[in-house]
Amino acid sequence: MSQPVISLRHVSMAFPQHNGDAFLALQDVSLDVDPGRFVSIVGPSGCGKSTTLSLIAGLLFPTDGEVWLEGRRVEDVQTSVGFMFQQDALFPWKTVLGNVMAGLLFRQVPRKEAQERALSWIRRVGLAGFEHHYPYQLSGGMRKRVSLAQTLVYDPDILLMDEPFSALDVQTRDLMENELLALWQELRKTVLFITHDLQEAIALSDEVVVMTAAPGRIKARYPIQLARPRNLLDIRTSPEFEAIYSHIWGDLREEVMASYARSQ
Amino acid sequence: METRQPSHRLIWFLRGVLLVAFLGGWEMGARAGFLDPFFYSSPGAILARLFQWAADGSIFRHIGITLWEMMLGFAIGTVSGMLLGYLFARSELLGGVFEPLMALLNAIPRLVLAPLFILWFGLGITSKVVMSLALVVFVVFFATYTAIKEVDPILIANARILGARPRDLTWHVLVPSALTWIFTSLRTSVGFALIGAVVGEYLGATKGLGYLVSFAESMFDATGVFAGLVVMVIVAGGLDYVIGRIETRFSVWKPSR
Repeated sequence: MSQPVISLRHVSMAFPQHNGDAFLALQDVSLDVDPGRFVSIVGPSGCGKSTTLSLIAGLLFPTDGEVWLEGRRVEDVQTSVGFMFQQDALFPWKTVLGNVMAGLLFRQVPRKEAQERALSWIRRVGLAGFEHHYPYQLSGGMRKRVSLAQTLVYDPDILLMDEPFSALDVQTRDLMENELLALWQELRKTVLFITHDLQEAIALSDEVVVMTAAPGRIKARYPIQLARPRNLLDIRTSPEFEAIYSHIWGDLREEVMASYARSQ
Repeated sequence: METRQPSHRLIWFLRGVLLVAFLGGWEMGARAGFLDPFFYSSPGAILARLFQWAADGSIFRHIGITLWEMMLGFAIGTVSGMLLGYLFARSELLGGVFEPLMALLNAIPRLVLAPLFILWFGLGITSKVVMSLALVVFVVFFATYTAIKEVDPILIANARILGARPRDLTWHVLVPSALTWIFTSLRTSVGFALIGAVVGEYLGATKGLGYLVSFAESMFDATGVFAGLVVMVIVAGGLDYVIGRIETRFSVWKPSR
């Protein structure tokens, strides 16, 4: 049995609020992710999914419990991971090439080599010819491809993805998911993928983790045994997929309703 | 309702008509004796004065002096405004202590300080440079301070995960972000730099455009005052054009409006 590369141990996270109380975002979350696995976390909005990723990346630190990454305790920002944000995180003043190169330059890779590696990734995500465009000149889908290249160019072993495609239209999103899966099939990185879309989670993952409404706890974990490689454009209509979906939806639904009721 | 956009050509034509009507009316009023040339001068006399100044070259010396004071004030004001803005935004302690002080100083109408600056720094160019930088430094300071305080936290998080060290964060995220704000305020700060220099000269100097106008005033020379104002407008217009070019050159990544 290999060591988990991501390990949350009884993690709780509270945020101070304006009125002096603390908002408990995560409560006693324990989760292990084995290397090379594609794991998705789904849950209603506000359940602490994004917080979980920030804790793993060392952008935040837990109020309680421990976060371990590749056998070391997370005590600082983790540059060994790749992180794709839900929001647009590209540098608007850098070109596509500049954005994709940034991580390599920060890591002291010589400029010439950085440029070659960046160019090859730009081609790989299908943006050849757009090297010298600025983010504002690109569509939402293209910007996500730049983010993907920016993240993958320095070859991180672990990808943390925070609803990366949620802002895209449905067609672009399907295509991006398919491409992500193809890349993952080839690169075999560990992926922790956050989404509120159960279909997306099932289609992509080896395992789906359902979180409860706030405070976020792990409600259940479901291994997804759909055969790989998968074609996302067809998989959603298979009876197997539908069976898994309705099984997990039963659990998720309760949490979504609870979260919705609280927001009213 | 007329919804069609008026054409460019029409707009320019009407502007021309307005200008000709204004100058023509003024000139004719002066010649016909409706407007006393002693108080109101006339476009012809002003033009003649401008030619005279240009012919003996004196005007270029004055423009040169004013521009030089303005540029020094602008450069020193911009650099110190950026440094202070960066320091106060990055250090909680410095920011906490000094930010209210800056806001307080900014609330003082600095033109009122001009006589003091002349008292402290003399009639030479130093007092004008100080006046000019006193106006510029606050514009740039607040632009920089806000830019760095309000830089998108997602960009910072992304840069840090991508491996940015503090130095990289400064040069690849904070400075570019601040520069866009500073460029936005560039027109304002260059305008202020010119105002500072001219006001300083106006109150006490022996050279420069402000001095020219103030000297003409003391001689009850309306033509000289108007001619001085025309030169100022031309200088300000020229600067505005140059800044426009610099803005387009440096903010390529921004969608054009």
